[in-house]
Amino acid sequence: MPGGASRPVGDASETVVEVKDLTVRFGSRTILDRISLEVRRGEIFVILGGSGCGKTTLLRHIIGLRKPEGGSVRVLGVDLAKAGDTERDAVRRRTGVLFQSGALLKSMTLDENVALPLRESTGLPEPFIRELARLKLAMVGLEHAAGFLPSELSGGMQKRGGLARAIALDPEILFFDEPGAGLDPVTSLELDELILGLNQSLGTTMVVVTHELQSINKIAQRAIMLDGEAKGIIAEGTPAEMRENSPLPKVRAFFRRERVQET
Amino acid sequence: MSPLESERAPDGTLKLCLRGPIGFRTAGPLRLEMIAALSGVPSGSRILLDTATAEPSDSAAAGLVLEFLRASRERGLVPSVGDLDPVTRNFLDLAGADLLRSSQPVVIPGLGLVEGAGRFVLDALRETGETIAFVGRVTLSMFWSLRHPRRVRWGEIAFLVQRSGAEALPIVALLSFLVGLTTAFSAAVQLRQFGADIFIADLVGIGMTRELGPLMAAILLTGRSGSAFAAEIGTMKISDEIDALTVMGIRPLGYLVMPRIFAVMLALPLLSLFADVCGIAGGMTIAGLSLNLTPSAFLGQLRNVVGPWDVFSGVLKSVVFGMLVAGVGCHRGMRTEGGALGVGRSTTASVVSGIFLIVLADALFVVLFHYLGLE
Repeated sequence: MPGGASRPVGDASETVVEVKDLTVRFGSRTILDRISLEVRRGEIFVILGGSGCGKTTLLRHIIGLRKPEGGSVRVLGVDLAKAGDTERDAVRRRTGVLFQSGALLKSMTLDENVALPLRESTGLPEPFIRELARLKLAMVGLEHAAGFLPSELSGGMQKRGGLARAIALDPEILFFDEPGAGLDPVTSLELDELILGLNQSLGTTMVVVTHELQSINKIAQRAIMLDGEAKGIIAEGTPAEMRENSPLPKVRAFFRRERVQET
Repeated sequence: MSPLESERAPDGTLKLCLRGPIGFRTAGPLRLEMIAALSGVPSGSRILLDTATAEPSDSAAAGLVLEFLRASRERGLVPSVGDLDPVTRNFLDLAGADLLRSSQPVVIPGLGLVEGAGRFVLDALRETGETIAFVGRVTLSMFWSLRHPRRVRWGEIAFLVQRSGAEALPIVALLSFLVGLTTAFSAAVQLRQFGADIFIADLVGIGMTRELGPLMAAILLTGRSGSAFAAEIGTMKISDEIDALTVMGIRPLGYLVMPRIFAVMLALPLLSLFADVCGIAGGMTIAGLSLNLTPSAFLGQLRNVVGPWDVFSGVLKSVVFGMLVAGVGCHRGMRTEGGALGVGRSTTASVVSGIFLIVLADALFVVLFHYLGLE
């Protein structure tokens, strides 16, 4: 089993992300009301739900880009909203984020983008950093495109490039915002396989925000479903459990790509 | 136990072993040690790296394997990879076997002198061509607008006049007042020696209306509005908004560029008149304070020497300056490429070439007016 022999991953029951009674508001409008969740080390955790239910907003809270209006978020044991700069930077070096658009810096070539976090936080010599960047690009299958500018790459390649940059520092947790958005089904599948591969061979914890069924069924080990009307979590479990056993028609309908039957 | 050990196998292969914990923190010195171990080896010999007993916490060991391969190949050795620890093996498996087969030499990209010079000339030629094409398109657009006055975005022009004209009034007032003041003060000392006190009005009046007023206003507007146009349009360009306008059948030139050029051509002459007044007020202040010249004496002399042509020539120049300032700003914006860095470059270029063109045009005007006898 490749995953078992990986680096010291620690206890699989260890909680690496803990959201407690989180409340999110935009002005007077409440988006999420007192939601709680836990992500355990080494799992692939999927946050799913229809458009506009607050999935991406929840992710932005977890990675500390927004401060919660109520409740708390702890990543690797640190409350990012309350931590000092040094502590926050330390947590950020142990986590990686792949944004929806890839968010590569447009004025740098692909390999410079991947080398950037290595250069800024390891202090290793330049030739060594280039080899590491080459390794990370090869891991996402982009070694041949190292010298290209982001504008010269396709959407799928930009996204894989963003992933190469996110894994540059070998993070313990990777966050994905809609990894399949805007990609053709094959490319999207390849990205899912990459996520699975990284999870299995490196034991990286994955937190994935998505609404794509194929992706959910392929990668999710545990999932929660958010709902805009309920302003919170309406289902929890493995995708199969949610599809078959959820008491809510809304949840079953989501998995079957149906409209909710009005009674 | 040293983290790097070497031993020689019976068949003459040198075997390097990485041992113990390895991470980004410790990889730097270890890499130097490894490269040092390679340096004494005669070229052509076989060499092997083994990480079976290493305990890497991240991809640093995998990076060291790649460095080992590259450094060995550069020295003409025949490297191979032996047993690997599970973490490093996982990283290299994910990367695929191709990565190990070849190494890329570290090349710092640079152009030769001849190639660089050639590129420079070609770029300059292309840029000149593009500028000429832009001027042509703007001119055509202008005629089109004159023939279709209903299609011109007058509301947008009014808004832009307010933004680049009215909102610039305070800073133009302050700067021209100070320029008038400084000019008068430097001259006052000299003029007093000859008892030519009253000529301070000539100096400030003619200087401000013909040269300093239009120049000050134009240079300020280059920094304030020309750069803003370049940044606005440049950001739109790199985020595909210009392309979106084009495919909607809206010409960016007519929609974005023309209103800006018209607005600045309107605003700048007015600003330059305002600058004239403020500058003269500055001069009058100094005349009163250090030469004891009363305002009425100053203004009387001013009326004698400053003719309508002085004021009008300044206004005429301002119209041209306005066209240059807005045109350069918009042109740089439309040419923007390459993300945030490109926007910065365009903004800088709009200010630098804007001011250069203003000073150049001013010099041409002086020569032109002289030969036309308009003095």
